[in-house]
Amino acid sequence: MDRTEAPPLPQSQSRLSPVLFWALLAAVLLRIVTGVMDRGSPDGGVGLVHWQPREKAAALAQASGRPILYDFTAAWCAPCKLVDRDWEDPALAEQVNSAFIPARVVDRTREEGRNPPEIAELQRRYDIAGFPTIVAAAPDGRLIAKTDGYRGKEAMMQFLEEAKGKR
Amino acid sequence: MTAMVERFLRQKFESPLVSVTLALLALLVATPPALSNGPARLVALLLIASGAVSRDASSGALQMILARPISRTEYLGGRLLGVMAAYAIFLAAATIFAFLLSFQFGGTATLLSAALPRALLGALLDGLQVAVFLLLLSTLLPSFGDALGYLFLWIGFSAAAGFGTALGKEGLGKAARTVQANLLPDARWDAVLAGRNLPTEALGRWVLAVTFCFVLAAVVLSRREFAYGQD
Repeated sequence: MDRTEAPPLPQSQSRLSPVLFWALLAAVLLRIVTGVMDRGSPDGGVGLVHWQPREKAAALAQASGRPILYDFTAAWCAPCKLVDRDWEDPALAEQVNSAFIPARVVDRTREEGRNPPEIAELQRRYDIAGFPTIVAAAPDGRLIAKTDGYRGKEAMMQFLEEAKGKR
Repeated sequence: MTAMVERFLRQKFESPLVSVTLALLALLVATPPALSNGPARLVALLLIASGAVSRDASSGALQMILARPISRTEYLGGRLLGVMAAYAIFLAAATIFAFLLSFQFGGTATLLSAALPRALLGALLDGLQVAVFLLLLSTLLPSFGDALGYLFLWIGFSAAAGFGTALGKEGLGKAARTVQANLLPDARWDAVLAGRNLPTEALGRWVLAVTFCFVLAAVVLSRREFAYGQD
């Protein structure tokens, strides 16, 4: 009688590793956690510029006497990402932080169908036709200077200098 | 796994037409501001990743590979690594071209800043998301259907979102935007890698989209039956 044990059956090639399902579970958890943590955060966090919450910008400008620098942008807009990259530049960021109250205004039309009323009102007030658009406004809301499209870091520096001169 | 990556690279770069097209696209991506040409990067990735699984299945090579002691998930992982290795080579070529252009026309200082490694890593991570989605489509659709499927889905979601808003069907627009934002999220890697935007909801979406697509691709591949010489 043959007493040798039968070799174990090879694992099926189609068998899915449990690691895949643990990874999926971890990803779902991370999605939930980041969703909860991100709720209500301001539209800032880009570059070295000290972005202020949009709602506080006017009050801060009136208290400090500095003009507001609005960055009208959108998540889907590719040239806006080039502007975002420029905000990483220390010299440019220093210029903005020292002379302006910077605030980002992120368009949500494509994501949510329409903008919150305060964003729509700002876009109407400064006649925003496209993105990116940078607006320098006096503390009382009066338009000082405006530039649209991506024109490069040097052009942005020049725009900031001119806006400072006009305040 | 290394052998599978090498095999993928051989398959992709042995065609002179593909290599020349990728070189031209790398040149486009290298033009200032370097690595920021998203559409050219996407076309390159579609060229690299399309047919990653489906062409192996239709040629009968997949059946030969699976005759060896290798699981289907490992095969899928090998293909994904192959796509990413080819894309990394493409980005490296674009970076070299960017330096050559900067020596000729100026702007080397910008390239030597910390923004370049961030842009490179961001492009790779963006590419991983598209690659894994194409891999999923490649397990479902024959030949180059994955690249076409990706483009149709992207256009379809954008159109549905636009039409939904234009026609006053807010539900349709919102559903299309939600699916698009979760399946093809924009993680804004520039800000995330600069360390000033963590954790973002978009980052969570990106991780879930990549994991979900890979797991679904593994499930689909594990359930499929392949006949010799057929897709």
